[in-house]
Amino acid sequence: MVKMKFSGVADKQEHRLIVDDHDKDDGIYTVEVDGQIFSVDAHAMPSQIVTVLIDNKSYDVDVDDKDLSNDPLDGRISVRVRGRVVRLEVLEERRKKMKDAQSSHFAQSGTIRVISPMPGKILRYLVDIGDEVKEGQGVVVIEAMKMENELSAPKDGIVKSIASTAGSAVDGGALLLVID
Amino acid sequence: MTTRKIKRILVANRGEIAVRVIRTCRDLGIESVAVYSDPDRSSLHVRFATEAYHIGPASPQESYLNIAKIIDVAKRCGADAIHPGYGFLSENPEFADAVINAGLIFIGPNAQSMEAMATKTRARQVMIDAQVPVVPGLEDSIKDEKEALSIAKAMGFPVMLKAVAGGGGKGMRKVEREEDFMSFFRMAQSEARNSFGNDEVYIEKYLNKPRHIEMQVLADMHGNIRLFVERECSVQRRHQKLIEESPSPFVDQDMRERMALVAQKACKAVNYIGAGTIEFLVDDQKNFYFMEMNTRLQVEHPITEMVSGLDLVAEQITIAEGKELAPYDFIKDFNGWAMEARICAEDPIRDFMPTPGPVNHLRLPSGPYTRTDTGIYPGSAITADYDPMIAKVIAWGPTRDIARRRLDRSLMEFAMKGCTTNTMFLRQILAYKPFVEGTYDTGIIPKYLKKSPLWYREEHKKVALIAAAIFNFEKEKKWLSQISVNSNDKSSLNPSRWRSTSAHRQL
Repeated sequence: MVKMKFSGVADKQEHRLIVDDHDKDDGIYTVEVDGQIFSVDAHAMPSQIVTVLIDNKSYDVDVDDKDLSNDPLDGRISVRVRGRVVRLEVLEERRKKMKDAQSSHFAQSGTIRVISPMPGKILRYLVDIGDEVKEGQGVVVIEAMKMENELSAPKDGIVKSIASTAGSAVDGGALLLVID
Repeated sequence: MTTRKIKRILVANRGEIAVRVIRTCRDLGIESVAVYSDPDRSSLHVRFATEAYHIGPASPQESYLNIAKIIDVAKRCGADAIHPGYGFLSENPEFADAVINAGLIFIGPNAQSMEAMATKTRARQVMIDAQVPVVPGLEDSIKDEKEALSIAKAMGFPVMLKAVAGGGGKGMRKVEREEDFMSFFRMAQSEARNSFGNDEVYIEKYLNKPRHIEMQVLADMHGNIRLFVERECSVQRRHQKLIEESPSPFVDQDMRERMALVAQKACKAVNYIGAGTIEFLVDDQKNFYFMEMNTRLQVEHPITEMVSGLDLVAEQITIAEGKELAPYDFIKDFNGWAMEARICAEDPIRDFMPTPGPVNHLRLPSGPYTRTDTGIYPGSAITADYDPMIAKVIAWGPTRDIARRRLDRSLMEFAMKGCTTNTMFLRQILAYKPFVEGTYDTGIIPKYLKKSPLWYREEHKKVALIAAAIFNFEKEKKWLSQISVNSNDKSSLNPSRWRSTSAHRQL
């Protein structure tokens, strides 16, 4: 196995990462972060929890990419370190380039699908098909765990379609409406 | 007074509080009976109980709120008492009556005192009659501006003008100075008319930096009222308490004793029997006003247990059996400091959106002076049907600072996989200056959220980047091996687990 390069974005700052496993499957890696070199011993535990020794400093790290679609260009990942969650976007270098090329191509033409972030019940739609919506404007209210949650439009646009009806139960990830 | 020994308790609740009550039953050698809805079949309270009965589908109306079904189970299973927990039917006078009419003991107050406290306006009137201080304000709207001014002067500025039909902050005005009153009063009226088509306005005293402080009481059938050192519950988000502590860093012994007297008066006013809590709103001048009385066990009761050494559920059972409470006084004699944090399945970063999901992995805090009350376990699931509060972590220390640090350490140990929790946010509040110093009020969370700092340091970020890079490295390796190996060798399709043999290595 050769070295692999990654791009890692944390609070809008990009970092260059290089991982080298020295062609062995022994859990010992050399990782470079922006030119700084670390010797890492990563030891997997059940449920994606990993005990990591970085230059002998001990960390229990919890890696969570459950929100990740199977999309190989979706690098969102959240990592819990000593009880603090750091949200990152990490992609292998070539995937990152592909993604950048794609997003510059499609950036302005987006049709946005508003999906339900959790299982619940649709209480009401706040907009109709054909309505003009502004970014941040509430579009639909979902009830889960006895609480009402208003979802807002992720961008300006026109409501193109409404995928469900008030009163119906939806799963997490279900399409609610489309904004064009 | 005749006493009745309770031998079998039906717990009309679910989740952590049902488990909590069952634990005391076990301690006392009392048999426990659980009831459960469809999604709760394998819940911890069902597994912990001596017997368990199915009472219906997920919807609370058809299960945990269904009085007829619960009474029916209680009769069939031969229970002699019902503990309602908190929430659900715990403050429903109709339920309390139904339990008693079925010849069973209700572990809680009687229906009359419950009713007296059921609506805020009614409770307020009862307290005014008993000469208990309530947040000063008018019961009804007022039209005449001169009369309004003289009332405002009597209350003392600042006052709040509020539209009777108001909501969402509209038709609400704070008046700081007497000379502004007339024009603000007219403005509030017209704003109310324009917003709600109703220009009725009433006046309430404006409390500066209010704090939410409450007193736990226990009252037995022999006329004894036992009082406990106060709990402070000012850390709230949208009126939901998140962190509670006992005692309050704001209350001195003199104020504590005055609050205790008022709490005692409130209890007597409604002939209260059982465990209850008098909630006060306290202003920055240490004036306290009755807000409401909760006629049940509170979520945050463990902090009172920590500073008193008592089991409040056991005390409730003592009262229900008609026995006399021991002669303790925890206004004067309480021990150290306790804090509780409520862990909820919600994501603070996504505007506290609920996050139901499976509990794939769970590590509960332990260690010195730490307690965790929960109904979840690895392999269970947090469903969207019920409250997002999934665990309470409580820590005790001889001083406030030690208790706070222990709670923080305990929250750090709490680890769960499967759905996001607010644990990190709770730790952020514990480390937030106004909380550390004990100078906070009910505005602490909105104030904190306005700042919204990223809560990790360079070190955490670096470790996260390294871990994520290795995680992706192994994923890339897996993808590559899937492309290069086309065979029946299943092992090559397994996700590489960073080091395949690692799980066998002892730590």
